[in-house]
Amino acid sequence: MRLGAILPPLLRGVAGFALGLAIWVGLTQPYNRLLAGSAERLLWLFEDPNRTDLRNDGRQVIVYRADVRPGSGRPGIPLYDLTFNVILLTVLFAFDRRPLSSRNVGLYLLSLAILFPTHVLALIAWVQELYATRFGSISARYSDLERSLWANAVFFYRLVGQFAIPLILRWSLAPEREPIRADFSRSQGGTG
Amino acid sequence: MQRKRFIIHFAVLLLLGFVIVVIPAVQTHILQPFTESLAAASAGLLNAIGHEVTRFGTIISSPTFAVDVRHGCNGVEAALILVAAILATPARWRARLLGVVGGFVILQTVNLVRISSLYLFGFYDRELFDLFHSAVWQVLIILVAFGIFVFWSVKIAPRRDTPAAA
Repeated sequence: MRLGAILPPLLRGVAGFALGLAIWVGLTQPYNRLLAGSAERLLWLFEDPNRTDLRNDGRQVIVYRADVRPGSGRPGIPLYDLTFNVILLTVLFAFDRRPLSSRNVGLYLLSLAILFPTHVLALIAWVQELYATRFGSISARYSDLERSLWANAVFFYRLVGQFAIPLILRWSLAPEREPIRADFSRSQGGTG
Repeated sequence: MQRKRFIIHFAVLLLLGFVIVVIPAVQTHILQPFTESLAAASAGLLNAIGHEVTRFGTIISSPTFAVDVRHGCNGVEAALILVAAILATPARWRARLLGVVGGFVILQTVNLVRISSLYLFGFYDRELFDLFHSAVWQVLIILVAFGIFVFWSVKIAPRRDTPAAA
């Protein structure tokens, strides 16, 4: 793996990082609103009457509930912690030998579309974890097993899940037979 | 088919790694002391470059700023991903061992720079600290793990009649 072979994908990766960061920072407000609204509506499917009220305050989603008295502490969820993997996804697709080809751009957009429901599910799990642990009498309705499951679901997503999802998307959707090595090894004549 | 098998193995190994990490005894007897030693090394590095900091447990502090090194900052997430990817790739065990040990050392060296730089960002500019803490370094450390894996799969794993990685 000579420098000449590494440099082009590395430069594409740097450009991808800058693009991913710009997308993430630039679209974070409308995206967070969409994310909070989607998660709220999905949570309503399991509530009768609807109680969850997720309000985006710019940096985090504040979790309100209609059946919790006003004045109680409202826990927040930092959404940037759920969504920054869009930067990683952008870099991984930027490594492609033809990053701007319609095929690569199409697969990247498809990956973004798949990433969105994972963000919604992660937010729902985090809200449920808060309900299970930080909402007094409401938390008392959750069993120890439920509490443990929601807490571990959030921990798994934050520790490795949020990084593994872009990697798996890239590896699954990459058109090359060897999605990991191809972008780095072709320019030196291929290694297998 | 080979790719599909790699991805399934990677996901299963990652889940297995997570299960090991959440075992209370592993947290108490391995991860906590490891994180404390990482904080101590970072504090040593900061002191060496002229910042007078003290370290207590996983906290690095000075009179004006403090950072607490926790999960997500101790490099365990990147190590889990690297190990899962290496073990999911067909290769000799010797090559895998080399990848895991060498990769872990490189990752933690980079992580030392990450923790020290985060302290410096926080000391001088809280907004930069927020950006680098919440996004930039988290992505970079995974990309370092990805880079190590790519290097390993190109240069080390294929030696000695192993089939192509992934």
